[in-house]
Amino acid sequence: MFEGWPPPVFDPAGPYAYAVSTLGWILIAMAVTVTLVVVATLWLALFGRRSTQLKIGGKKAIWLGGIIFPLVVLTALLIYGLTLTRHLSDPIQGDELRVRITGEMWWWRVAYLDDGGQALWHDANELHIPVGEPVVLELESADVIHSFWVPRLSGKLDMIPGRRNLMRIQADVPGTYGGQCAEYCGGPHALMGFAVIAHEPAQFAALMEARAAREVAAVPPDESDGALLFDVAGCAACHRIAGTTANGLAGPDLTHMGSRRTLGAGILPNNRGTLMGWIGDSQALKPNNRMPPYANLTADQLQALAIYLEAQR
Amino acid sequence: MTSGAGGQSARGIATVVKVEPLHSRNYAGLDRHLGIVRRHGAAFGSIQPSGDPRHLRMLAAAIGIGGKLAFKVSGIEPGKARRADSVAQPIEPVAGEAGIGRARIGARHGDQFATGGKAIGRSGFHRRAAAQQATCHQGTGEGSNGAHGAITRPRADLFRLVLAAMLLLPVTACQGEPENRREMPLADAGNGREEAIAAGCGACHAIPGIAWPQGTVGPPLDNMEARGLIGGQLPNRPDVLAAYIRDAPSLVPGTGMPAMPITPEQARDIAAYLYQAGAR
Repeated sequence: MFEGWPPPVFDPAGPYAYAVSTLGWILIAMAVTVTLVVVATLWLALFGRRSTQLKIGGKKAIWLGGIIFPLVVLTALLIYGLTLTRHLSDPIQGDELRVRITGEMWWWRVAYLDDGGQALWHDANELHIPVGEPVVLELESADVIHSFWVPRLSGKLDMIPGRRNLMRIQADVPGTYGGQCAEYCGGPHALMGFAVIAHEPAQFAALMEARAAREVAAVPPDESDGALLFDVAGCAACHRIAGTTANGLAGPDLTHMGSRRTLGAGILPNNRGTLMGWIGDSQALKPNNRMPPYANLTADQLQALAIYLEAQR
Repeated sequence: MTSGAGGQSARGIATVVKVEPLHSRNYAGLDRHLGIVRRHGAAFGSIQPSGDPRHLRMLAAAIGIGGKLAFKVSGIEPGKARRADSVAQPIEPVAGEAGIGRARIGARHGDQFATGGKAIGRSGFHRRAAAQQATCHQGTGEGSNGAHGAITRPRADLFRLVLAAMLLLPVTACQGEPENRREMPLADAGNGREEAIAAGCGACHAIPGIAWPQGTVGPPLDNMEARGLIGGQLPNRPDVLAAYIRDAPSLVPGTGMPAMPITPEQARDIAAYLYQAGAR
């Protein structure tokens, strides 16, 4: 699909993911140990000497192995686990980069926020972050429970309607990191992917500046076929392109569609061909998604729309 | 036996120059059967990939012959071994019935190659080969042995003919594999599947072997091996298909299929995959 997909689960690329990964390995090691002990005990209980069988079946064994051992081990594990991952949900200090990500059926609405929590610019299904810097994600949901998960960068946190959950992510090396909705959210839940792109700090600053400027820029009227079709065919009712009359908010913001890595929420490569295939009949690609098929468009019209969207960078 | 194509006398002679991997820049390591066909004083070069029995495939590129020639052809000295001259300039395949019955050297290049430049029919070979089916059991090994030494004595017309028939038999009559005129020996169909997925071909096409996505904007690409036309206009040939996959609008203006961001090599692999995956 794109570089970084499918995301490996045990290959952390930042401090928060390291903590989660470490905890994961510890859990696996403990689960294996406990399983071995239980199987060995079971074997002894069935085929061991009579005296051993009596010991295993005694009250003392049940108190030790059934109550004290789990109580101690699980309590220790809980404390250790919470300590290890406590920074994942640190509150906002004030100067971090803040991004609001809203789970929608079945895509991600993304807004880059200023210190006051106001949106600087809008995007969808893709997150740009600087390398080596924690980024605070404000995770919300517009409909049902989703779960935001970029395995190489942080933990997994639910997006719950009516709540705002904070989660920090950080990447230590530039690159593209795949993500995926991790809580079943209906129909095409499995086709609800995500891409995080980690840039060098200077490159990231330039990108932020350019996009924040694009958000408020006056866009000269576009007389191309694609631009006219975008209005006439109904795209603008659901999609927004900053600075134009297209200001629909039901679907993903398309202001930067042309530069996105993926199409259809992290599921398809983004090129002219896939754009045409998506516009023409996205229902065949992502069944029950909320965009209707545009079977009435001709090849020329599909192409014009794709070219117009490619230009939205 | 001695009568050549079209009931002519023994003047119609086929001499196989070489049956071993052809060492040339473009076709290195491929097992091809190179032949020089002489008929009524005219000589033609042809190249036949193994497993390709129904026609002498003409390559649209200069080829070098690395073997001993039985007679002089266009500047190549007889009896000179492993000479790699470009004897066949681009040779155009000409479609006859079913598209593969006949082939001829383009008139433009005929005189470069030999004296005549007239069309030669594949059918003569075919008939002779059929008459020689009894020698099938002799197999490729014996034929290859005979091919190493070139035939230099002009008196042995009959010998040459039998030898030629033996050499051609492994590819015409004895080879049990079904004919595959979509053969793309330089492409990697395995890579092709991955590349088709990476390029997102499935956004518009249902492609056999790719479970998702199966778009509906373009036609399904099953059974491409047997498809007659590409894009409703072009002959279904490996090179055409590969070119069309990469840049359809340049070949069929007005097509709904846009140019794709892939390299020619990737397009070739994808074409090979489509031929392989869709075959019924």
